[in-house]
Amino acid sequence: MSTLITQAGLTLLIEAGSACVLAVILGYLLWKSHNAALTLGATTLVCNVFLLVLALIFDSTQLPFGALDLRLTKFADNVSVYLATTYLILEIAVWTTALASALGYFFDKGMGAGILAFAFTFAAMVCLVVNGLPFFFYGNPNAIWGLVAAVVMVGTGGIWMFSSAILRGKGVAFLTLLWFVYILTCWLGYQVAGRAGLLLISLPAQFILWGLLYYFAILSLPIQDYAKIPTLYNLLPFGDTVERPVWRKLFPSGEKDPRVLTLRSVLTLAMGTNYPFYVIDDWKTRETMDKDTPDPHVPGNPYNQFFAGPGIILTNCERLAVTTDGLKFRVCPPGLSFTQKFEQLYTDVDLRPQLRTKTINAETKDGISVSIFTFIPNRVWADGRKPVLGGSYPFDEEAVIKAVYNHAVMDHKFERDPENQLVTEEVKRRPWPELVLTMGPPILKDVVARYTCNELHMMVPDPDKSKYGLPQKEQPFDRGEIDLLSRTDLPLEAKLQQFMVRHHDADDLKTLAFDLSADFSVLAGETESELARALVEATAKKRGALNHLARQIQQRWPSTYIAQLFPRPSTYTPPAKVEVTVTAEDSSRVHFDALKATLAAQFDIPAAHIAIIGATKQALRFLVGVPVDAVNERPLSEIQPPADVTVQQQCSIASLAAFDELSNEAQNAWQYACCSAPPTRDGEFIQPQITWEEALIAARKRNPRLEIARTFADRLKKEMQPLGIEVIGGGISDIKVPDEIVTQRLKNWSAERDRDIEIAIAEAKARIALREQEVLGEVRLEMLTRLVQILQEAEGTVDKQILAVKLFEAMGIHSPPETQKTDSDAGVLPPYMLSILKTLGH
Amino acid sequence: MFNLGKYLRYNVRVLITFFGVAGLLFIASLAAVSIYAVHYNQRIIPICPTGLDGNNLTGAVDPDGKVVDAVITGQPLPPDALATALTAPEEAVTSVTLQDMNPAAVGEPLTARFYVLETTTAGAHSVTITFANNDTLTFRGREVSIPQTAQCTFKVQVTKVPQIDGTFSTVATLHNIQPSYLGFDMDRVVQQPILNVAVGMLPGIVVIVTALLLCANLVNAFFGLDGGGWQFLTHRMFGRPGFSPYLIIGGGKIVMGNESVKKRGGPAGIVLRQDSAIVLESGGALTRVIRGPGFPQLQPFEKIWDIIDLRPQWWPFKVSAVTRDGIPITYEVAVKFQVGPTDDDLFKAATCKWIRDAWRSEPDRLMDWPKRVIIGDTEGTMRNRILAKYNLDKLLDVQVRQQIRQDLFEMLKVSAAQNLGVEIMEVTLQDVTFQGQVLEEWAKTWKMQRDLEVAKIEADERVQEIKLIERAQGQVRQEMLDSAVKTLNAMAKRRKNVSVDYVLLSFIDMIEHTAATQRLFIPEDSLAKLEKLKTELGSH
Repeated sequence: MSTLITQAGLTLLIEAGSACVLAVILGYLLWKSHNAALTLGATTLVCNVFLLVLALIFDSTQLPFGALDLRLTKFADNVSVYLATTYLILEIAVWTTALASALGYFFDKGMGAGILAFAFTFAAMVCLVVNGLPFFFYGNPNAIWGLVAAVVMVGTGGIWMFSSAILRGKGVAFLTLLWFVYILTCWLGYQVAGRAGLLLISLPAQFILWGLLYYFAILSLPIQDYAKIPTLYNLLPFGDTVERPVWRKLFPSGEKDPRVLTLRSVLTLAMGTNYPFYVIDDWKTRETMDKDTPDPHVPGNPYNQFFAGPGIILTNCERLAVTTDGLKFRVCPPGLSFTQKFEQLYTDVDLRPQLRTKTINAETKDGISVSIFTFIPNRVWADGRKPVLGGSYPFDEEAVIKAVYNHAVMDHKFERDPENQLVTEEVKRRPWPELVLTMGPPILKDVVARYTCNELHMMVPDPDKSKYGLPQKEQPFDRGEIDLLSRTDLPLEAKLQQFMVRHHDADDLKTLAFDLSADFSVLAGETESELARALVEATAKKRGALNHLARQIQQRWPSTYIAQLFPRPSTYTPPAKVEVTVTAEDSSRVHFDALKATLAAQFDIPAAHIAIIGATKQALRFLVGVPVDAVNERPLSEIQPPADVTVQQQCSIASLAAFDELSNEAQNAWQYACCSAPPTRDGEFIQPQITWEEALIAARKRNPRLEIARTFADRLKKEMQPLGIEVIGGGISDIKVPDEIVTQRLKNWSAERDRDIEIAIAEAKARIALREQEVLGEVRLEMLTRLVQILQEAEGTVDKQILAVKLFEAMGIHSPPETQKTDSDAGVLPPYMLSILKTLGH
Repeated sequence: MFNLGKYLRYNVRVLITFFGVAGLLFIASLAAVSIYAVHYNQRIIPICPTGLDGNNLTGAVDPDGKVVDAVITGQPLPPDALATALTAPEEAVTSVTLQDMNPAAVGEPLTARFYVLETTTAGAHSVTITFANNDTLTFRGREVSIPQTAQCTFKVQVTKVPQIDGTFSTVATLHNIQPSYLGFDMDRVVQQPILNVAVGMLPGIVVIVTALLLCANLVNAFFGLDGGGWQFLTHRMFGRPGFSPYLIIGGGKIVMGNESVKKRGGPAGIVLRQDSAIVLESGGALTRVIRGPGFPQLQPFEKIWDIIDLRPQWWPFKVSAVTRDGIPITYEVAVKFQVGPTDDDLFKAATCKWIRDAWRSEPDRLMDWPKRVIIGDTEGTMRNRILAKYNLDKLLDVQVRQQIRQDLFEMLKVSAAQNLGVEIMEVTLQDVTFQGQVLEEWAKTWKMQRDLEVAKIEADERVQEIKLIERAQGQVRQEMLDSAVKTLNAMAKRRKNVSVDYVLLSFIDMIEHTAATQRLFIPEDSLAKLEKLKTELGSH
């Protein structure tokens, strides 16, 4: 005790106490926590007490602190080396325990503080003991080798023991480096300036070391707002364009702050106790496809407990990482993330759309097997969001967990060798992008099962009888048609109408009517007979229109019957279609007469010449049929308001567009709107029945392959959403039917070609027959005209015989050359004429 | 590429840092050394005897204190024995002694003379003269002596020389005289503080280097680099002195450049040629879109995420499809396209990438924007939206071919611009091939047959037109004559001679009848004249 009751001893006590205060201050400053302060203070106190108690073991003759001149310089020469070094060891140790506690606390809170402080205390104790060896055993108080041996012993054996006991054998080199750097700074400090050097050189060097480690560490990784960390570059840009520095970006906001974790990473990497470091980019290629996770750039063991971790995961903007500690999962968003104890990389998730393809075999409604190549782009559910500049690829955390874990399935590959019955079994986690290949096929099979084989390629529903079945050569006429054709009491209109009803369905007739720009009243028909009658009646009113209708029918559905009924080519031009956008008081209907009057004014034609073909509501659009000449006369961009103000108020044209110039999609939408949802008359108003958007959507569905693809994608999307996966699009490629069916279709096609030739011949024959009649009529007229002319010329001066000769000559009968006209024979028919007449009369 | 201004700015920053850090270390070290110098307890300088007789003066001086005592011993005193020896009562002197001791004042020497007594035995004697000052420290109001000491150690060789008178005279010589401290050396006095200040800066330098090395190690290890961490940290702190490190980008790819920039990103320079554009990424976020040409700078950790080739692309591609009538065909389509002119287009093109199965070979694994235009949009549109609408016959029609081209162009134009940021420049339709050679041959044959049939029918029609007119003339004449004869026969029944009048009348009758039945038009005046003629003939 007498040792401590000296100036040096009491100074040491005060320093030990001050070190405890420093520890408490560090706790408050660095962690802003009572617990940290208390822990550090207590740890330092305990360690320092331990050191001082150790000092008490020596008596005052062994440690004559009373004779120590405690100036800020070196100890005086009369102070033995042993005494001076012992005191310096104790003095440095009591302060260092505070620093060691803080460093330990930084790593592992109380446990770390305790371990590191006690380890350092133990090192100090070893130094004290070994330092005293020359004195106690050899009586040499001035030998320095004891201290050197102590420092080396701690720097090698001590660190090895610490590493083995706490760090699983890691970190020997780094701790040795730290130890000797620490000793070097203390030694240099003391050598150049004594105890003042320890205060002003060695201690600041420690602060510089840890401060710079922190600063360089936060510059080393792309932590959040890293560009705003003050550096000399952004503090003194000298005109360079740099991010403005923000001083508070230097300071961490808590112990989980990336800045703190980065410093830990620097230290644990140097010790080798880091958890794995991953830089994950587009790593999964053909070479690495068998791996579930990428290789770490720096390996590490996440089960290291003391002075270990964190791990780091850096991902690009298009991917994220999912980690697990065995109990729960965590989604590490794109960018830099740190992993904690026990936390391992479970998988990484590529947020870009993943395209997966598969050929799916399905059965059609009529039992035919088809194979369909499907492609299904999918990604982790992001609710349709797209990547934007300044952000990463979008994702939903919950969906990520669902996709990668909750609904992940294990793929079993089980094979038994038929010869020796040995089984090979492989169990592998199925990656989430391939879940669609599990869920997709049953859905597509279900969708395809609603279609017959032919419907897979046809644009219209397949009738029950197979259109592409065995070749059915159309007979030129059936009995009914022969009867119809020969009936003279029936007009052509009736014959055409009956033909239409017998051979075409309502959809065919509606399409035909639409193409001919028929009025909506025609398209409103539902049955074949209604449609055929309305269409024929509407077209019969216009000159040449009926023949045009017939020729259109013939063009679409070639028939020898129509070819014979209507052999002439069409000279009629149907009205041009024009899309008219109008504004009206009510967005759901327009005054019918006002509309017609407006259109009549626009095109400068009578209102009766305008046909309203179809209409859509909300944005009021009309498709109207207008004589081609009227459309060509004036550009559609010029809008002519009607003279009548009342009409103007009821309806005005906003824009006009030629139907032919609309996109295919828009044209199809109009066809759908006109044929499937024609407008209705509601008193004085015309009321559209469908919106333009509905028409657009519905029109698209007319392609069976698109319809199948869309239905498939929609259903799959719904099925995949609960699994955290978003199907984006998806479609089908060729629908491959069996070869026999293709062969059959080719035969049908060939048969149709033969029929085309027959029809062409029949048409030509019909044209010849018609021409015969025409020629006969023309010749008759010519003959009669000539005969009448001869008879007229003979008026007044009638020489009857000459007149008769002329008439016979006109008929192609010439008198023989020897025949002489005589007066006596006047009034009598010449013999050659008589002979001819007799011949004819018989 | 060398930018002198940038280089100078960089070096100014480095110099500022260098001098700043060095200054701080210097100040700390200087302060420590100054304190050390100010509080230094100067050592006692011993004055050792160099001989006997006239040279036996010895003593010591304490520059900042007073030497108070000297003790002569055979061996150097251990520190703990010093106080005892100094305070011990003087013993009888038998061999060597100090006499004529003059006490010292502060800063003045204590002097004495060293004597070897006659009684000293012959032989070599080790002698240590220890001087001590009166330094004390005050602890709790009590003064504690903590004397400094200085020693002179030497050997005294004593020889007994026999005299004539039988006595022995003592002859002594001093050897190996070693003062414990030689005293001031002005050079040393000047050099020592400078050296101390310099060495005092060393710990600071050591820890700075240590910290830099440890963090550079993190950078290298984390990004999987062989080196360059140190350089990265200096660039991070001071900026770059020149353009290096850099990447050269052209033709839609990295032509050459620093590996570390590819892995870690900036700070770095980019040589971006006019045919390329880049999309940059940093810290998990897409940061910038830059269109070439130019020399953009990569910010720290900013990496090239994607490179877009700005050159027009021409891609002929065979689309397998099934016609509306279910017949498989292959239609070759060539599309010329290019990324659109805006940054938004570039961004769309870069982010439209689809990733395919990992087992695919590398060009095939990524479905980037050109592939999406062709394999995605063109193939899909052509197959499902266009070719699916047509029967095989239609596809052979030249006009339909033109329509297909137009449709494809329009559809692609809209979808590629909206979804991929791509501008479709041209669409060309090339060969249509059928599945299998047989079908192709068959199609050709059919077309030939049909052409022949049509030509034959058309030729027949022309020949028949001529025949038709001749035949019609004969037929009409025959009809008219028959009609006229029929009437004539009725009039001339049972008469031997037929009157010409009858013939004329029958003709007129035939004309009227034919006109009526065949609905042929005869002018009114002609009819009137015929009627008149008929009346005239009838009156006969």
